[in-house]
Amino acid sequence: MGRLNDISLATQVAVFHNRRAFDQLVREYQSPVRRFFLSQTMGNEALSDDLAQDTFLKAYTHIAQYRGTSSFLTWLTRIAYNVWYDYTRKMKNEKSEEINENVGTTNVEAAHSSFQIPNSSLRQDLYTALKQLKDEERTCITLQLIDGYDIAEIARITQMKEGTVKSHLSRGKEKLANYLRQNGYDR
Amino acid sequence: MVMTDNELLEKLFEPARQMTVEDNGFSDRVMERIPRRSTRTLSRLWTIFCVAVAGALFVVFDGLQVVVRGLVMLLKMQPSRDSLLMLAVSVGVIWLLAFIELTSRVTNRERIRLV
Repeated sequence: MGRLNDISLATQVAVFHNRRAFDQLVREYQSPVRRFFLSQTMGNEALSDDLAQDTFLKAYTHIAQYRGTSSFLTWLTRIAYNVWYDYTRKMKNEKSEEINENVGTTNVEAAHSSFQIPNSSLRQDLYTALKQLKDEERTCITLQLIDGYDIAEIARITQMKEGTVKSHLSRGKEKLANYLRQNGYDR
Repeated sequence: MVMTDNELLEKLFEPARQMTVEDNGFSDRVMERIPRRSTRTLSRLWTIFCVAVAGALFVVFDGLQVVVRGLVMLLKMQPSRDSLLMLAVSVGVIWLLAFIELTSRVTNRERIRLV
């Protein structure tokens, strides 16, 4: 969907509360938003869907703030990142360490009815590998290597400085590469 | 042959890049949770009704005359220290409420972080 079409649909939602226009935007962008959350939760589909729903609800109520200076998907990803950030902060406050265990281990194998990824063992390997990273490293790595954002865009989405993004990326990649070598992926 | 870090990561992430998540009713669930416009319309109609009633009452009871008379009286009378204090407190409270509302709106806006 082109940028102009997105702006047109967003305007229809903001001005006329056109639900059909918003429905089109949800259908177009549900996959990348849910994929973003699946990467962050390391495969917890139920949690990812809840967070993705919150993201779209926030997008709907704040759609008048979309100015069209970036793509609609970048704007959505920024909201998604904030939703994820708020969620992790809330969970850390409630149960300090539990999130990493719950998020990572529960559903890597269990819940993938919606997934269309070519090789399920690679998918499992990916989430297991992502568990080696800190939250910020994982976010930066997945935004770059899965969603294809460059460093400047990641900095805008996460509100981190570009230097910080670079160091998260560098540390994260090093950890992942070491993990993969230790587990024989380099053969 | 030994793989470089980038080749290793490419091997790991390439399938995820191709990944699509099927809708499977997700969009419908989102649309069910979207607030209905009827509530907004009702609220707007109620606001318009209240403004219309207030306007009609203002005209019927010659509101302009009352306001002008009140202002003239206020300007003519010698304000006491207590009444000035009361005025200052009232204005202060109104400004405080306005400030709280403004900061909460700005904070809320900031959380969405415009792109």
